Amino acid sequence: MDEMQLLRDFAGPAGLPARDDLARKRAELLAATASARPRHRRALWGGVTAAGLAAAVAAVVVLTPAEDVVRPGPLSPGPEPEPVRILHAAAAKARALPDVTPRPDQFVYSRTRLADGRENETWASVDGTHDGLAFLYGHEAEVAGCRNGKSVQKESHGRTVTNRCVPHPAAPADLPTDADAMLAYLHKSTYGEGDTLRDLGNEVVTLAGGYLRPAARAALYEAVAKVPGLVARTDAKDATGRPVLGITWNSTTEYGIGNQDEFLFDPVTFAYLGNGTTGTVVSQGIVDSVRQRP
Amino acid sequence: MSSPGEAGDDAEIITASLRQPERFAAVFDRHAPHIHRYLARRLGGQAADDLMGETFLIAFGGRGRYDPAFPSARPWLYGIATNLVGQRRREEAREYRLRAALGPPADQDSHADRVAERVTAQAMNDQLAGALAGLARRDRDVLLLIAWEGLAYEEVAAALEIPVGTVRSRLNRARRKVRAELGHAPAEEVSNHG
Repeated sequence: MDEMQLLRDFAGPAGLPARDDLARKRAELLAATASARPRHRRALWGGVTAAGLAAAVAAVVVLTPAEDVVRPGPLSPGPEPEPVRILHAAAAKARALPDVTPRPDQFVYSRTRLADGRENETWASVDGTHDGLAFLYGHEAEVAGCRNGKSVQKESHGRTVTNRCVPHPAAPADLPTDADAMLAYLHKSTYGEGDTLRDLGNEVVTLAGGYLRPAARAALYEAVAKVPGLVARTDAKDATGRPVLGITWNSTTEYGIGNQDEFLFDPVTFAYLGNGTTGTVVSQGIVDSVRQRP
Repeated sequence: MSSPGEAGDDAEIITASLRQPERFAAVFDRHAPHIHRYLARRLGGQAADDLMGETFLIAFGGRGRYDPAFPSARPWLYGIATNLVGQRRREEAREYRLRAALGPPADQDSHADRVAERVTAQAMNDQLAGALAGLARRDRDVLLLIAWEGLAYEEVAAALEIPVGTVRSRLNRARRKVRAELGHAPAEEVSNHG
């Protein structure tokens, strides 16, 4: 008796699925590559961060600072290494950014521009429980919110796929506002995936890429400034080829592929521009519903 | 290798995707059908959709750790998928029971004289379903990657991150156990009646 042959006969499907059948999953993968945040047993990328503030602020808030409001400042001369000075300058500028707290049912909107001029847009639920939306590479993709530990992703023909999840609020509540506490928070929040610089970098990129309250954003940059081995690149370019300041840590992966965590800052306003593998954030805001733009 | 295009091997594409993440889609295009079919074989179609997406998202997130010494990413992807299957043992056992109960895939011609064959096959499948479910997870993984997916020993070793010698010993143990289970199958009585 050839048990291997019997096993093969028992295998089930012999045909490979057609390209069309896999298109939905391909689009989801592309969506994840657009935000370029690693996914390790988390719920679907929630992406952007927002905070939940008090009183009835304006329903729609624009967050990207206007050019004429933020005045450029030189780096303060000093004995600190250049990456640290850049980060402290960025922290100082961050404190001047708008301090708003969206309602839990609002969305953080982001528009990023890629190297070829195309733009992607995302609407991320402030509290992670509402369904968001993304326009990525011309595809519209719903981002299912997480309610009662489950997310329900709509498929074609009325099918739905239910996944277990934890909510990914567009901002974690009560982020630390001092650098040491933020550093401790970053180490803890890698979802048990490890404590390497790579994991830390992913956490920083995830947080920095969205809306943070000014004190938390400043604390984030100052926390990064405490990590040893930082390297500054003043000849870095963003996705559109514009010269920017780049901060990276001096680490390579096990296989020597090299570091992909680079934080880019505008050389004049010290605004955070992204991490070099995604497009440049050109617009951000808080809105009441998906498809609405600030 | 100044600008690796879609014609490059997986290692080149994955390396390029570190700076241009959307390049990773080519890895999906090359391997998703096989991974989906593998997952469907082990867990059924519904779970396969779900886990295939998860496999590639995990792979994407971990692409910085991909060893460029491996020109093909397929073993790596099988490894990720297999880990996900490992979290769903009950579903896997249920899938095999279901497959056994539904009978072998309806073949085009079912002449009367093939009925005996099919009865034999069905009884055999019940035994197989039980045998598979009864294997240790690690032995089952090795057995099915070889029997169903046709991976070579070295590929299984890479996928599961174990030495080749361990692949062999797990395969042998799994085959012995399956043979032992089938050896007690009542199907043998049926075939004796011709």
